[in-house]
Amino acid sequence: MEKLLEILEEIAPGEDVKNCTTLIDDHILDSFAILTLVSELEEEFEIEVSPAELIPDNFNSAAALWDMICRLKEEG
Amino acid sequence: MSYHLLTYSLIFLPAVMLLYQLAPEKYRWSVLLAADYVFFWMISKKLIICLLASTVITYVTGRVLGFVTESGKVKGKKLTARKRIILACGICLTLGLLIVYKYLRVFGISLIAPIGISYYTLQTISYMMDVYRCTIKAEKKFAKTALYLSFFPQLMEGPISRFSDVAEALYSGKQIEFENLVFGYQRIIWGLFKKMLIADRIAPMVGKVFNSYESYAGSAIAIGVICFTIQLYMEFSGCMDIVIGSGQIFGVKLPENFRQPFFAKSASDFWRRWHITLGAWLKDYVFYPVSLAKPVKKIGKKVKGIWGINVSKFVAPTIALFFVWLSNGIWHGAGWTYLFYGMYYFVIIFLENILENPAAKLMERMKLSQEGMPVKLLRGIKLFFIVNIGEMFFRAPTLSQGFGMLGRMLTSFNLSALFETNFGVDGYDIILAVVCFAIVMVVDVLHEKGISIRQRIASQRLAVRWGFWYAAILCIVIFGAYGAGYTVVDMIYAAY
Amino acid sequence: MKISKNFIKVIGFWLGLFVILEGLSLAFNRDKNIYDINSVKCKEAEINAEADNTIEVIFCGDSECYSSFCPLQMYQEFGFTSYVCATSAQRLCDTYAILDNTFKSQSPKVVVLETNCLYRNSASDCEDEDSVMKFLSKHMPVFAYHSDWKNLGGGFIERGRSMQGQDFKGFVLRKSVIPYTGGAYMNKTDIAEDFSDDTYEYLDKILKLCQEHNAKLMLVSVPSPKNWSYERHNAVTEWVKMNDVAYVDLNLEHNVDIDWLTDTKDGGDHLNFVGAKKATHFMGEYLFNNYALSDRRKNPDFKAWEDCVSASGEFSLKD
Repeated sequence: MEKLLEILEEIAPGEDVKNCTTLIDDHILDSFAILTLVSELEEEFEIEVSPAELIPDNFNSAAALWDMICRLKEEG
Repeated sequence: MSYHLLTYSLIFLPAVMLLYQLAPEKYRWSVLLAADYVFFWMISKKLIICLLASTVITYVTGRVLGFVTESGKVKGKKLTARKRIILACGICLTLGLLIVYKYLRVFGISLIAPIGISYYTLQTISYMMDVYRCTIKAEKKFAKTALYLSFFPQLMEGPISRFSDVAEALYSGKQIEFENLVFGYQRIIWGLFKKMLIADRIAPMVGKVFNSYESYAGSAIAIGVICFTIQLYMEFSGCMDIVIGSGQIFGVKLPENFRQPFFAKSASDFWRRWHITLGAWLKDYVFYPVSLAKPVKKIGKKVKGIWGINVSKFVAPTIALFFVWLSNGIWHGAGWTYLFYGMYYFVIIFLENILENPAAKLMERMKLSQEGMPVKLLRGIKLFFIVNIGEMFFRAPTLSQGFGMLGRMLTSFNLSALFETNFGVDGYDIILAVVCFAIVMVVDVLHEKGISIRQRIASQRLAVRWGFWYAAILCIVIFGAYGAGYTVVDMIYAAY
Repeated sequence: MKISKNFIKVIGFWLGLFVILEGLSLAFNRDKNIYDINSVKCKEAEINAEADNTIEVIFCGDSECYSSFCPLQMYQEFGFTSYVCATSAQRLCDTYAILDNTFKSQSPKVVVLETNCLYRNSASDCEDEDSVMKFLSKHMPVFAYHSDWKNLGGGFIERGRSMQGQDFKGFVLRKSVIPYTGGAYMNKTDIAEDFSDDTYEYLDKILKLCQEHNAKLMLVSVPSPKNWSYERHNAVTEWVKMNDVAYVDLNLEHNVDIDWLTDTKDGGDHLNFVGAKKATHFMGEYLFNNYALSDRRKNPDFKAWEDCVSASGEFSLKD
């Protein structure tokens, strides 16, 4: 989780990434940022994110992202 | 039948509403479905076969995908491989129909396309992809799939909706709420206002300038181009108002297609506000899949090894962006102008992306605030040129004429000639178009600030409320560009 | 209870709207014999701006007419003065209104009527694909004559000379080229495509109006594969024979020599500048030879025409 927040902060500097639950809905992360985020996550956590995972539900908050990472790790 | 005709909003729509309301809740979906097919039949007659074929293909593909996933006979990589084949078959078939009707003209075979094929084909693909990705379950009821692909208000011009957003509401047969009915019709009036008072009023001058730009000075061409951008916005967003209003009457919340595009900060922001549902579709079904595809990732890794992360992070998105804009251009039609239009935005958005950081640093060094007036103004001017030049190539009959217009604007702008140019619309029309455009812009400013005018009006006393809507209707009746001396223009985006 | 209350509201709203529209219809009601009043007023303003009794030939019709005949060229070549009173999509009822006004200040010797407008709706009925709009226009004058608001303030914006800024005496100059490649279109036949009853009525009215003012009426069909056919030619021929009126069909005149690859602005609908020159030359010669028209070129009273020719500037009428 710490690592995730670090990555998020790097991508969206100055935002309250820890508590924000509208990262997508409020356009804090645009599609470019999402792709950067995904490639960072894939490298850091050794997971593979498929296009199907790229939905607002998975990316709106750090908690949701963490859930997704855990789930993908288990599956992988 | 078209949405901007009174026959639609005063006969067809009420008739459907009445039948819908009279039917028992269980069968209301069938009234809608019947209305969809009657609507389609009125425009495209026998080509209704195409819609039916696409619907069957979509439904069957969905069912087969669902069956393979749930039966659990094969798992893991084998399952993915099998699902991929099924999905590919489904997409090839519906996309094939689109290609036959829309793109065979490249080889000199011109067919009259079924109405809305470009829109519903995208919906077939999004449905099948969503089932493939397991974001939705394959629909068991054929009627529900058919409803989703053919809802009559969105048949001709979109918005391109997603199964998960609208299918349930379409099928549920909820009764028509009075509030929805009122708000729906209010939105339709607003749409007619944009179409009849502004778009149709300036259409003749736009046509004149684009069809014979050689006889106009550069300054007059510039005015014509700006007017086309305005015409397109008023027409397309006006039509969307009618469409979304119609949907609301039946309790179906269709996605918005426009969000004050002229207040965008950049070209990519503009496209998040202009024809939103097409952009969103391309993002979900072209941009992400391409950028996460294995070959693309591989290239990214190679670049990272050579030039480091600061370069490599642009690789995958740029490749994907290329395909997005290629698709966007081609989707509009088989023509060099559309291809150019797509590539034009690809280059601009690519530049925007790679220059974003250096530009921010430069501004920091110059101590300019992102939200300061000078920066905002410069940004606005930049976007103004980007959008208008883009729309000019979009509308130009051929690419060489587009460049010809650009050339004339650059070499013989001749501002003074503007006052001697007559665009074929009289002074009254010009004044009225300007005033009405200003009204729409004021409304856009309020929306941008999050103020809903409809809500405001709805909270007034009855007399004020009615007075407002009477005034709006009378404006359309008296000042509308219809009847003697005007021609009602067919919807531009219904042709795509 | 709630439903019936809403129901009353809806009925009330529509009733109110109906009353308002009916009321406005009283205000907008007017002479039903003019269809496009704004175009008519524009043209009237143009004609009234010409010096009295200086025009010898008047051209009437729709866009086919004003794209084909250039008075300045006729003046240059033959010396007589003329004016194009054609308006976009002109109907015969409007032709009549414009002519009626023209005779107040001018005494033309010839009135040339282009025939494409004989196949338009000749009276002021609304033609609209929108059947509700059509119905409303028929029964509520506010829909039919809503554009009259432009005349309410006494015309506070100046009208006239509306098309191009330059004074081409009603001719509209268009230089673009979209070729017509459909081949021959005047296929000989005995069938006639009759006009509507309205058209016959208005033609008679126009003929009578011209006779009253000692002007000769003649009909002409300009070259247009999109609009003209032998069936239409036959119908016009029938009428002119019965009424002893001259008729020239430029679609059948080989001397006009239209090259459809270069002379049309929109694939065989209208002539462009190049085609107009040929049609104008032919008609100028025909008019000059068949009617007693005067050569005004050396006449100091018509210096204004000379100025007009030299002022045509960038859009020079010479190549």
